[in-house]
Amino acid sequence: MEFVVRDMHKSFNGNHVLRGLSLDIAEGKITVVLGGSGCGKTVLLKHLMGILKPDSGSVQIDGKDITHYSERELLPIRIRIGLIFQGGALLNSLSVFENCALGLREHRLEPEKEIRRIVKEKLEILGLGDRLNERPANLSGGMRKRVAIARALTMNPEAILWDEPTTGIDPPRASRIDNMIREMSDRIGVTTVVVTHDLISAFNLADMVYFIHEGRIVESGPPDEFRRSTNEHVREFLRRRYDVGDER
Amino acid sequence: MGIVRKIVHLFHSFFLESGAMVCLLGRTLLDLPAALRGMPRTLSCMMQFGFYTLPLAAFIGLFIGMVTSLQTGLELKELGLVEQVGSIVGLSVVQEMGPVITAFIICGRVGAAMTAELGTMAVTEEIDVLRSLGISPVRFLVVPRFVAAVAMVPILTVYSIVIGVWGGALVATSVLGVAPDVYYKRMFDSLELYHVAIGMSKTFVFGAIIAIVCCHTGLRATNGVEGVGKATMRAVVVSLTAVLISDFYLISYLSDFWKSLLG
Repeated sequence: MEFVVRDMHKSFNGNHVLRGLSLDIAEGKITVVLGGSGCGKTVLLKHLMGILKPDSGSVQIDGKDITHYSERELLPIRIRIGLIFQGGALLNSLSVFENCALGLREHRLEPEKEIRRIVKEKLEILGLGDRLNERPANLSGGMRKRVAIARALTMNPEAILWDEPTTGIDPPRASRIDNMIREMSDRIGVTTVVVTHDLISAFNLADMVYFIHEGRIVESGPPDEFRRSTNEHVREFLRRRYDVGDER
Repeated sequence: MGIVRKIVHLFHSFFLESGAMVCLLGRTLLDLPAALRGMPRTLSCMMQFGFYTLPLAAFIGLFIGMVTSLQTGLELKELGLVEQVGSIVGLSVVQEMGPVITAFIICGRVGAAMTAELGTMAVTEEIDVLRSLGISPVRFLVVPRFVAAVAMVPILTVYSIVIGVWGGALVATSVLGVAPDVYYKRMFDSLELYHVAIGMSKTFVFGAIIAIVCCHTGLRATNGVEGVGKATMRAVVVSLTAVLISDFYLISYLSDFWKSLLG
């Protein structure tokens, strides 16, 4: 699955978040999007799914312009993409199992027995095999995020959009999630977009790095090239992040 | 200039919101067959809206009947017409008080909960999750609530009316000294089938109004917990107002319609 974003603008109540953002996401590769808080990274992910519509500009998926697609037209596209929200965004009225089975059940993609097997398998991989009947309110932030990851994986998506996948997760598990992302990309060829602040994770994973500043891409390139960037905003971002890392 | 701009903005918002609610109603009606597929969700909403509202509907229905009976009965007693209290309680409770007050109860109890629930889902990105999974929020969330409200408002109204009529009888016999058989005879003599039809047909419309207004307001909630609170308050105010306004027009149109059909 290939994404092309061109000259995208988006405002919320007069707050101009995206100001002519353009980027290309290559099929089967891991693209990492970096940028300060509130720079529009999550807004970008929601545009890639068609959850938000740009004020101007376009989003293309596999060569098709989906910018003006209706909800009905977007449905078959969304089934092929998994979006993992920053806070997990689990449905609180459903159990862990029901949350993970939601997509498969609603679209009747598998018989109930098979759904149960798939969900259990994904949850076990993420260390939550014993929490099937738990309500999201009884889980920690990290657990909720892992359930959200399992929910996205049950649909076997062709592309996965990760919003801060390792934030709030302990380092060993974060490392396992990184490995999982890399493995899915290498083995199944899943197109991956990772929005993160975690530079270790970003540089471990990325085939391509983009940096957003004030609603635009100000730097892009493979990780090694990106590290050598002379852009002052990138330099400041990398320096500050590494400083924080050193203090720890 | 500021006032003119505010008035223009107010009208603009009014037409924008009304249009969006009509669109939501249209999409809900188109997706109605989905209610069959999502039967467990619909039944759960029916339980929540209907079954758990029964005690409140009974309590309020009882007092509506008792108050109507007492207030009219005392006046009628002075005129020597106290035996007519049954017909007045019957007509007012069946045609007007029962449906409208039950709709009010549902607005306050069920409608507010509906908006708060959907509003919380909207601000915690749960609605976005549904859309990201290719699940229509209208089909998944609005249709079951719409079906439950349209089904449960009439049932609760009937229940409330029955208790109200019984409450009226309680006051008529114990306070006003009217014999129970006289109370019920006068009531059934004055009540025509079209009175019942007018009262009951309104309840379906009230159910639809409450569900659409409350779901629409909830789905559009923004700005966190504060936004959910404001949306809930707005939903209750708008749905109560809409119920009252629609009641006025429904009486005008439904009276002629049902009278010509059943009168």
